[in-house]
Amino acid sequence: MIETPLLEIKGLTVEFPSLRETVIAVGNVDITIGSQERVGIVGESGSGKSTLAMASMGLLRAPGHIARGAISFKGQDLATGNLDDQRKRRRRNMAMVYQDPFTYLNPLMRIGDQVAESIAVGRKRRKPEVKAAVVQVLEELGLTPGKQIARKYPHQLSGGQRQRVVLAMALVGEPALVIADEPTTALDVTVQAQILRILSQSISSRGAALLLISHDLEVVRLLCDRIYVMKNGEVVESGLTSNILENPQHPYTRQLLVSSRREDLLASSVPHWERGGSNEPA
Amino acid sequence: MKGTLLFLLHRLMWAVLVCLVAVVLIFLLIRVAPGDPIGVLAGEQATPEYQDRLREQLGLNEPVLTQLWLYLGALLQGDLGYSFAYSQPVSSLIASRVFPTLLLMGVTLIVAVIIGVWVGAWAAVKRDSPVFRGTSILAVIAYSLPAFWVGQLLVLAFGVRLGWFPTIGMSSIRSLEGWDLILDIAWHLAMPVATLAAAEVALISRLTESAMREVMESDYIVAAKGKGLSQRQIVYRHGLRNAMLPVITVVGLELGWLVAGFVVVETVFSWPGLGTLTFNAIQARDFPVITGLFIVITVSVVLANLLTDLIYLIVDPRIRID
Repeated sequence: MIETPLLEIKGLTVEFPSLRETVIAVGNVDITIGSQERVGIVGESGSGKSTLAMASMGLLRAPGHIARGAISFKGQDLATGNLDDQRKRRRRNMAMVYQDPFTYLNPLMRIGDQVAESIAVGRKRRKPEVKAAVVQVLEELGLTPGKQIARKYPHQLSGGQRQRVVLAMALVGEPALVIADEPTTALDVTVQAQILRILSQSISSRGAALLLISHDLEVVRLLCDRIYVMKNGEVVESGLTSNILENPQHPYTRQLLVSSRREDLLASSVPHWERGGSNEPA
Repeated sequence: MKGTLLFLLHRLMWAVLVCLVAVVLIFLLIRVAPGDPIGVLAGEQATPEYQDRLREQLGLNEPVLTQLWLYLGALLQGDLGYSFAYSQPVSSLIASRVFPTLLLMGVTLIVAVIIGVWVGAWAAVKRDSPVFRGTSILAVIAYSLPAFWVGQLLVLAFGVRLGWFPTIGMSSIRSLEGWDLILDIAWHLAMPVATLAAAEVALISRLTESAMREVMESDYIVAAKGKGLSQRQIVYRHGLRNAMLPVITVVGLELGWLVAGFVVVETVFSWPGLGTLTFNAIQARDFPVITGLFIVITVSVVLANLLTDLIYLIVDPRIRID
């Protein structure tokens, strides 16, 4: 199907050893993402989808570690060597959009500096050039005027604005692959749709690939070409989004589908996409 | 900005009030403490008539509250009284001793903060390294040792036995100028600073380590790693600045404790500062000097706390009120 995968994960097993027992958070998972492809990973909390994302980025928290398996980016191995070197190989090729915009931004650092770090890392670039790129990406993501926002601190922004900053940190380095780990879970329902729309647009305009982690099948249906369904650390089903949603094979997938439809009914009769308000508090 | 100024003004008002209450308490406490300066000044053979005359001369026969009132009035004009023992105004006596103490305190603080923060930060990051595990144990030991004992050991080892460092005073008797004088003072500073800084380094490194451990677990550190920043960048740019907040608070409070350390260490090394003056004044029951010194110390501690608030405002943008 895909000739040269951008990201290839083979037989990945992530373990969290403790004194009593070793928890296998991800067990023998295979995933491939082609360039410009949009892939979703769905599953309930505890299914290992976030751990998979963190492992791909080399950001597992101790004592979690990759026990077996391989991760490669354009054929280059990412899972061996020490963690610092691994992360150096990833930088600017892969970037992550984190779940909680309230905790993933450094409270003592100006927005502009936090975004600039992602461009300047590992290469020499002149300051005005970096500043201009930061302002440009902030404005592209609807944070206007970019110059003023760049001078602010995280606590001076709303949740939706902060998540746009997190998005800017990921996009400003022009990565080939963006991994988004539940990018809207921490936000108000009204803001969720906006963030998803901006995420989708900015990925398309850059020709980047997207790996979207979500528990919300509806979100994945709107954004992704293919889906992996995860349960208890394993992939139970995968395929094209339309096939999976119309003709789920695994009972767990069917269960997820039913519960997401029920959520939708409960939430509102307005289609999900339209639920977000267009104006956000500044 | 306006809110921040109001906040500072508010703190300043409190600081003045605290100083005022402290002055009254210090004055009264010293008067009710046992020991009569007249006995020390007049000598054991003095006749009661002479003692009475002396008491009247020094204003010690007035009721305590009257004395307090007179003292406060004089204080407002910058007059701290007249030393019984040194026969000169207390204010000029104290002023002549301020520089050596400020020098000792400043150098101690700078040395202690630089070493303590560096050791603490890397001990938190390189948790598994045996070197930094060793520093944690060393810190507990250093913090537990009394300063007078450490000081005397240093005098014995490096001053008397090895003869590397001078054991007395702030400078040599030879008259020196320029760089030679500065080097000479630095040479004299080495041991008192080492004595005072040992416990401070221990405290600051332990504090930094625990704060840093917590910070390094935060999500924004994960995000910094995700950007592919080097470990040095993560530690200094993202980690340390956040970990400094609790350390700043404690170092500010610690200044009060440092004063107690100065009395001991200056006495051990015969450093010509406020600490030695305090020790001598207490031995001589020199009330005006003791009162003046305590007031100066109180005001310095209050000022140090104000400064801590100010530094906090600079470091943490979240508490700047818009």
